[in-house]
Amino acid sequence: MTGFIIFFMTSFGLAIFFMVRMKKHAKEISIFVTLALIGFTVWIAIFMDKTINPYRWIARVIDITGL
Amino acid sequence: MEQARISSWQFFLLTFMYVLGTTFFLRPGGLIAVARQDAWMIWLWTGAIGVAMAYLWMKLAAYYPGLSIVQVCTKAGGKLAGGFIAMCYIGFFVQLASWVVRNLGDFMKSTLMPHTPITVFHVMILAVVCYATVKGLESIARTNEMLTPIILLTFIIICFLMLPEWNTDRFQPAFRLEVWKTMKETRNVIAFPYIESIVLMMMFPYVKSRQKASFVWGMTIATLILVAVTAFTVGVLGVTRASHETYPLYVIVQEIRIGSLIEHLEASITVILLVAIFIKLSTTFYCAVTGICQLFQLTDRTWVAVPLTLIVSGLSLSNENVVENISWDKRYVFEYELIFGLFFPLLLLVLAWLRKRRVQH
Repeated sequence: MTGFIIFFMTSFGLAIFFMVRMKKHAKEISIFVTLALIGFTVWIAIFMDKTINPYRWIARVIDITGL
Repeated sequence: MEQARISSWQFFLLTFMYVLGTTFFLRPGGLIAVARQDAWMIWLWTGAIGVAMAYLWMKLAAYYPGLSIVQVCTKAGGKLAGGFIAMCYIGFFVQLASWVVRNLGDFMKSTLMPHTPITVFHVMILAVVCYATVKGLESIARTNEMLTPIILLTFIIICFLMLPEWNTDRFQPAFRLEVWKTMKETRNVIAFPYIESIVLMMMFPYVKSRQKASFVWGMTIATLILVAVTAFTVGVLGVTRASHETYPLYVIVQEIRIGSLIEHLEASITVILLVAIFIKLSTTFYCAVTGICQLFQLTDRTWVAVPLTLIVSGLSLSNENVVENISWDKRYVFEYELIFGLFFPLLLLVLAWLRKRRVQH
């Protein structure tokens, strides 16, 4: 997990640096940051054995609605 | 927005490979377990429903020519409700991409490389797919145009090599299907691969001409190939063996033996599957990235594609194992995908019709 966090922080910092240097639009940077953080959360959850499982959520909704 | 243009032939091949994609490998075993020697017939009615749904989607596309499904959502449903539906579609594409990645991981781990961590396969294919997505639709379409003949040729050669094992008696007794029960049990086949094809609506604006014909013919020809693959599996392996294997086609190729010189050709079928998965995944991933770019009006796909690989590779580990995958597919996939294949398009169609009427009055 430590390796992943170091890898993520380094590549994330580099990507932000390049985006700012390339004068990317603020909206583009914010979408990148949002997606990267969602990805980071998904992976940290995996490392902590609390996997985010959308299939289980969908299945629960389908069961509740009785489809 | 991307200025790519693809020909109707390229779109036909993309549709064909998208429907065939992982289906020819994953579906026959389960179908034969349910419908036994009549399994090939399931493709005919599920294919018919798939084509009927395609006509519904094309009717929706005709209301807004030159727009993708995400753009249609915001145009017909407005910024708020339409934006929400568009987000749902993007989420669906991301989830589909993670599902396809997982199929690859499961296959490689359970057959060829059991000691390699599954994430390695996921990350490696996603790196290639991310590069293809950044390069654009034209690159994906051209790659598909080049690879499809190789896939088909290899498959035809395999069929010819296994013809001595064919036994027509394995189809007896034929036509003993309990129609309603089988239809209910095989409803998931409508979802995967047919409802999933709604992903291709993201590409409609880039096709030069004859989108509808290419789309419908792609689905129809792929369905006929799937009928042939299922019949071939029953004819060569028989019902009992085919229904007990997760990847019956792999077992067939494993058993090819010509003298003592040519045997164990499973690597060739693995390459075919890898190529098919690459095409399907590139298409799905590209559509997810393009959907995000269109919804938020972004111009550069690179900065969306790269973090999305992180999400897709993470989500592909959601399911514990292949058994959980199969049970989810059997029980929930049809109900879930029906929302995207039927409910949302119908809703958007009604909204588009109401808007058109309001303008006319």
